Amino acid sequence: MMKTSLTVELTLKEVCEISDVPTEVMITIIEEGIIEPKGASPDEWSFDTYMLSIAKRAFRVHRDFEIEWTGIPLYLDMIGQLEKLRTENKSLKQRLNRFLLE
Amino acid sequence: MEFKDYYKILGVKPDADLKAIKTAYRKLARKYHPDVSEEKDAENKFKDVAEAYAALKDTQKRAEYDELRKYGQQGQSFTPPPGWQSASSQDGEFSDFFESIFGSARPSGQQTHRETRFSIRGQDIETELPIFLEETLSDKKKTISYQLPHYDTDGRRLADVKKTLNIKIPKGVADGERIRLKGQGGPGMGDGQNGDLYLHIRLVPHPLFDVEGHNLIITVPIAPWEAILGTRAEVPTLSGNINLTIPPDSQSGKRLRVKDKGLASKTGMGDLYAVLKIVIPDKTDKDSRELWKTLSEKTKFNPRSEWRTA
Repeated sequence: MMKTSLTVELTLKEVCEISDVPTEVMITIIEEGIIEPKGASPDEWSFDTYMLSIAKRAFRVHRDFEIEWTGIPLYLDMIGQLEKLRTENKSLKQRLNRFLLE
Repeated sequence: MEFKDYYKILGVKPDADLKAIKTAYRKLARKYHPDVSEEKDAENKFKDVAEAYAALKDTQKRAEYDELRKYGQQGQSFTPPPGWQSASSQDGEFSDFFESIFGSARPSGQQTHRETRFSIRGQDIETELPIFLEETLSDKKKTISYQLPHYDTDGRRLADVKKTLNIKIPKGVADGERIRLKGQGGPGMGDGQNGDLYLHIRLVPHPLFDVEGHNLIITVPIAPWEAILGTRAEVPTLSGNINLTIPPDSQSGKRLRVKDKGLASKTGMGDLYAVLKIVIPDKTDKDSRELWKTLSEKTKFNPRSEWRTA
């Protein structure tokens, strides 16, 4: 039977395993404040799937573009805005076309 | 397997220094990285570029590659010489060609567990799931199928296996949302867990309705006299037709809200907005033209009054 788990809590070990991000890199990502897991110490850290996807993306961007960690939050913000604008633009274009003639 | 010319892929000379290789890679990464690129097939192009860079930025790998390059040419079929073994280790998932030279990342490269028992978590699979607007409201299950990679006990990749699931589309699902289906990804090896399946929801554009959050928008064409006099128009919704009252003196572009006829959201139902669009007949006959003429003479109305300068 299928179940969708929209809110899941993951431990440090699980989040590293699922994301394929090495533990030491994950700790850097947290130290840089790119994601902020709940809990005071690594043993208590708990992650949600949103943090998982951010960490995965941060790791990829750091590797693919060789961007320093300090630049990554800015990159993620900008790319988020770009994606939002692209979606918005697409839907506005579609709506506009209903009013324009060929 | 096809030989890949990594120098050609990066567009550098075979004697290029590390700096030139880095520069070429960064340029191509900005051009083809799936995050930023709008080029067709960017993802595959980026994979090639990343693979070429992984081979050439590492002095040892580059030396090994240069050695092999004497035997192969871009586009030609290629088999490593018998007894070939790489001294380097690597990460990431690259082509069969890359793995035949530098070895496979899986399973030996990715052992995150330090336990003595061999166990590797299965691969996560991500797949796009296009759904029709109608399906977001329906209780019917949707059948999806996708390819799962399989490996034998030595980590060699076997033919993909097709997997089929019946899933219920969660109510209130939005475009771009990702749904995680735990354990439905690639099979784990040894004691490893299965990977997960991520469904990337794409709402298929509808011929009548546009989506704005959980609300829907429909453009309702009306005649000029309907806009002036008002009317009742039959308007389609996702759950059958309704009779919409268009009040007298309705402007083109006016939005009329039809409550609860939008998409489902986590908190209830979105609304449908009917946007009026005044259209005129393709042709006007003589009698009608006379009537319009009379009307234009009797009506005091300047549609461009706002243009008047003070």
